[in-house]
Amino acid sequence: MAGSQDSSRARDALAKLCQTYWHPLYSYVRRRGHPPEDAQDLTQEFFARLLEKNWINGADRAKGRFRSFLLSAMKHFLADEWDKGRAQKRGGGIRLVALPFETAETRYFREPADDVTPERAYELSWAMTLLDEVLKRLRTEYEQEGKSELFAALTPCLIGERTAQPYAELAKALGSSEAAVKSAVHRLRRRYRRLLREEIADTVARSTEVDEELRHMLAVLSR
Amino acid sequence: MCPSCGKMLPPDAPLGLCPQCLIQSGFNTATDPGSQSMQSGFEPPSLEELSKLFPHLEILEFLGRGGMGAVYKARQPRLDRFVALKILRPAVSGSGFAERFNREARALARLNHPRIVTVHDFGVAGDLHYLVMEYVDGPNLRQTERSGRLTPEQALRIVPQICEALQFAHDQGIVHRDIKPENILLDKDGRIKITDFGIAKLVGVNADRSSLTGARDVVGTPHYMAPEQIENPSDVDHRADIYSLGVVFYEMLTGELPLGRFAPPSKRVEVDVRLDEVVLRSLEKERDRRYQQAAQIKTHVETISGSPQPSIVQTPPYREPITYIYIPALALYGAQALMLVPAELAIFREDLNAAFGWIVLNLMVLMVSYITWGVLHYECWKALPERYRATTPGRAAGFLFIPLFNFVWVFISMTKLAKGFNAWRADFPELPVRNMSALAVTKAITFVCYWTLAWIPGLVSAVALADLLVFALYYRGIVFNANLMIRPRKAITT
Repeated sequence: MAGSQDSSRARDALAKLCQTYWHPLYSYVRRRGHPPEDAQDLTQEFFARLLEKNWINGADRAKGRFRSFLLSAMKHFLADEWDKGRAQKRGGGIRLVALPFETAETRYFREPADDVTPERAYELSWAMTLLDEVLKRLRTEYEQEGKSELFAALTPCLIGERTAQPYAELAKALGSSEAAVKSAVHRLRRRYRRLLREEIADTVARSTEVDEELRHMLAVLSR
Repeated sequence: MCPSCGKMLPPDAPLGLCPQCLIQSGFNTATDPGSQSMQSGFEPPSLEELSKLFPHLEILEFLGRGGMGAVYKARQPRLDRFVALKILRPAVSGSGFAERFNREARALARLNHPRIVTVHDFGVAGDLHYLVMEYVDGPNLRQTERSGRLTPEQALRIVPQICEALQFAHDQGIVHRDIKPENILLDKDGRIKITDFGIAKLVGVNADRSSLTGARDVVGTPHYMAPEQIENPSDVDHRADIYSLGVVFYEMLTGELPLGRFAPPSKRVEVDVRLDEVVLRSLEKERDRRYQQAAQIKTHVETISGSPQPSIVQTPPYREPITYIYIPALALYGAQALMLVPAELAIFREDLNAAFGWIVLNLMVLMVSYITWGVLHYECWKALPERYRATTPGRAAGFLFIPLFNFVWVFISMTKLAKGFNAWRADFPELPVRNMSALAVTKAITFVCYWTLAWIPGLVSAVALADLLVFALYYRGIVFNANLMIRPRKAITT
């Protein structure tokens, strides 16, 4: 987790987090009214500054969560840039982190648009990014075990109550026994839960905050 | 639309799944594997599934799960008895599981001992292996320990019983392998019964660890397992049970597990120093240095604690058995008092049939309620220490007079009522309304008094007297006061 003593390890961990969670910030910046090219530059510059100036290692990092920290840091950064009159500046900046901006706009337009504040856009995007990441990791694990079809078949079982899953139909579809299917589904759900919680744990200071973070995201998604 | 929560799916929903539900699945449920040791992939079947698989059983409730599987309370209607249905977690397919299961289960079923939970039946239903076992209605040793009601004397009475059971099983060549407080049940009379005998071997856990899949291979807590059970599970004999017994014994005496360098029991609690040797010898890491027979432990413990005690654990303070009589008694008494209200109203309306009906109902409930009260007082009388048994047969008879009196009075009123309302009123001009009220009041007072008297029989007489007195006074007052006539009724206009 970013913030530990070993600074280069911290930098790597931070870089990794940035690779994952850049899009929520991009959404935020776009929602603030900046056109795509400017948003790209700003996001890029922000992360560069983040890593270069080691903003993470402050004491306030130990409290708070990465998600909220990033947002407030971005807000400060944008205010700073505005003050310095460089809001319109293009290009430049040290590229410690290469962010895949090609898909940025496509993703941005798939997000719900209408009356969403920049903060809310950020939060929603964060939740989606998190879920995407976790599911991607989960699928990779299953692919590495040669179980891609199984994963594809059982993906719908990731949601809903354990008792409400269509075990019988799945057993028939997969040509397997109900007990085996139940076992596989259970394993999948457990692994998913573990990965999700691990992913969140990377962004919070204490493991007790994982549940709080989950609740926050649930609240954000249900409004 | 999400099939689970019904909300519209956003266009960027990951893998087409509802994000809210995905987050929801991230919360730990009560059975999260992080908090319990659990075999990977075992889902206890639901009650409905079991009802289908076991048509000859009434599946009543899910009792719990352990490393071996899940247990349910069930009833065999034909034999009219309760049983415990144990569903074993599905083991690795193949590897001769079925034959091993049959062989082991048959051996278990032959274990017929009063201190061992009997196996009635076993087999396969669907793809689940199951055992039908004796149902023991009582806490296990763990629960008793937790509730703080286990004294060293009681521990000394429990251990010999465990030894008897173990010796019996060992003589039959059966090793338990999973002796722990959760597997030692106490019945209502305080006698122990050991359950899950040999199930560990049945499920093939310790014998063949390489065949287990999943991240979590530990079944239950290893603290009770003998060292050789952990290191070399295929070479385990009955002396592993002796070790486990040692751990259980130590825990019963001191409340703690013998971990690392532990103090002998006499250094931690007030127990006979000679017990240290028993416990420590049972807990020897080298099995050749332990007691070689459970019977040896029994003899040793009994010698230390004096003469062999009757194996009864002290029962808790008396309250419990009364509750199941008390509540119905109160409820019935209250109900019949309430029934007088509609009766009174019916009389007021001059609705003969309704009044009659309500009074009959009142009488019936009254009878039943007095019977329950009688039973309750008898139970209290039986249970109270000698010095509180102040009730004599004479007083009991006196007590019975009141309910009898009430009953007879209402019965007479009823017969008069049957003759017709006017005849009734002629005989008891001022009674209909007022006496019903009086009776209701009397009963209400008695109701309150009864509620407090169960533990002090002397009050029974006082209350009975009060009941009679109040009633008598009121009746007297009515008879003497002819002015207390009922108001003229409003004519029923058509």
